[in-house]
Amino acid sequence: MSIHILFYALFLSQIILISYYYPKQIIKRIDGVLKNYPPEDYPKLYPESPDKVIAAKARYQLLNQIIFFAGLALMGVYALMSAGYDDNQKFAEGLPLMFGMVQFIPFMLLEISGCRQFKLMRKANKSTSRSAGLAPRKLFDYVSPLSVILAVVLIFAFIFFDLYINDFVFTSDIIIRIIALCLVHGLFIGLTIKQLTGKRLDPHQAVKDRSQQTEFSLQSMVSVSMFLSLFLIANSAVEFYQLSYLEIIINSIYFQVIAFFGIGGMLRTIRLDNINFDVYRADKANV
Amino acid sequence: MEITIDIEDPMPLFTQLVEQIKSAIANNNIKPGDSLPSIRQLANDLELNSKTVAKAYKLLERDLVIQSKGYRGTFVHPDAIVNSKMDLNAEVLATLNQAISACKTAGVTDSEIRIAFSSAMNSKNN
Repeated sequence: MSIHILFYALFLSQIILISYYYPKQIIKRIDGVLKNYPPEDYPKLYPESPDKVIAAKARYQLLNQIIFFAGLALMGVYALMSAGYDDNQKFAEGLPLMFGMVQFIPFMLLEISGCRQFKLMRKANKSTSRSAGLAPRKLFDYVSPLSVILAVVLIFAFIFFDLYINDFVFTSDIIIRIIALCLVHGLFIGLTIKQLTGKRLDPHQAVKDRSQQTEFSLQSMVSVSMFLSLFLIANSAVEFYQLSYLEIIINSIYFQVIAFFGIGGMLRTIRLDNINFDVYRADKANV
Repeated sequence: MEITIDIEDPMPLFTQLVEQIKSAIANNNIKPGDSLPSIRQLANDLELNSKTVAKAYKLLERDLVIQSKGYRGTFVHPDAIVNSKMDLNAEVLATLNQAISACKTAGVTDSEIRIAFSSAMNSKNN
């Protein structure tokens, strides 16, 4: 019963953190931009009508509210269904994992919307003047070599541990996990290269802001890599030592940690008052 | 330190890049030994063709303003402060003017000078 109570507390925390608290912070941030950097003074920030930004914000808010209440409802249903279960009896299998993936959908849609916004900004940018910093962007300027080494060590630690508990037999599950890990890290490497040498998405972004964003992105990816390896190790251990009832707790903690360091990290690190919004003002010649 | 280029400026883009980097060095905004962005990074940041940036870097390397160290990257040359102030084109023009003056003093005509110059360039290229 205590495990169930712990799970409900963690799952409630997952629902509130990812589908209520962080969306609320993001909405607050969007409102802050609309209020302090209006289209009349910062036209380059709004390649389309600001009404579209407001509409997108409303859709994002609604989607999170639906997911929030769905999460509470699911929790209620599972609580009723598992009322008589023992502590070591599996229940709510897959719930935090599946629900966690659903919770991240609004954030992914917001990201896609942001990329579309940047594309429109690039299309609308008629300026003939282009700026760039003369400082090279190198990986270890943004993340410590130690953290990268630790992330790599953890990857191999997971692979070794998974093989160890399976007597070094390459089962199909292990192969699938290794392939998934390689794909995820392949994606991270691609994103890292794009961050360091690729074109900037926002054509007006100041060099200092790009540097800060790059630093956050890279540090975030290293953190996620480490947590992913730890999560996989924990899941393999739980499976091997027949502690499957702990799986739901580990899954819920994992999603909350990812949200804390990902979304939460972005909100804490990239503050609106630190961003140079003057780059979005109209060119003097056009005023 | 930021550089800015104007794609509608009549000055060629690679020349703008060369001048801006030399100016940054002359003004002590970047120092000998400082590393510079890779060709790819600078080309992407300025939304230019990488050949344009490569050409600018090649000219700067020729003038001993920067030095390329392979995979380690590109760095400001130790003597960049002095070398960035030298105008190679002005040096070439001054040398040619000297040679032309000497030829004219010796009674050589303009067309003979042009033919001799062309012949000298061809033999160098071959």
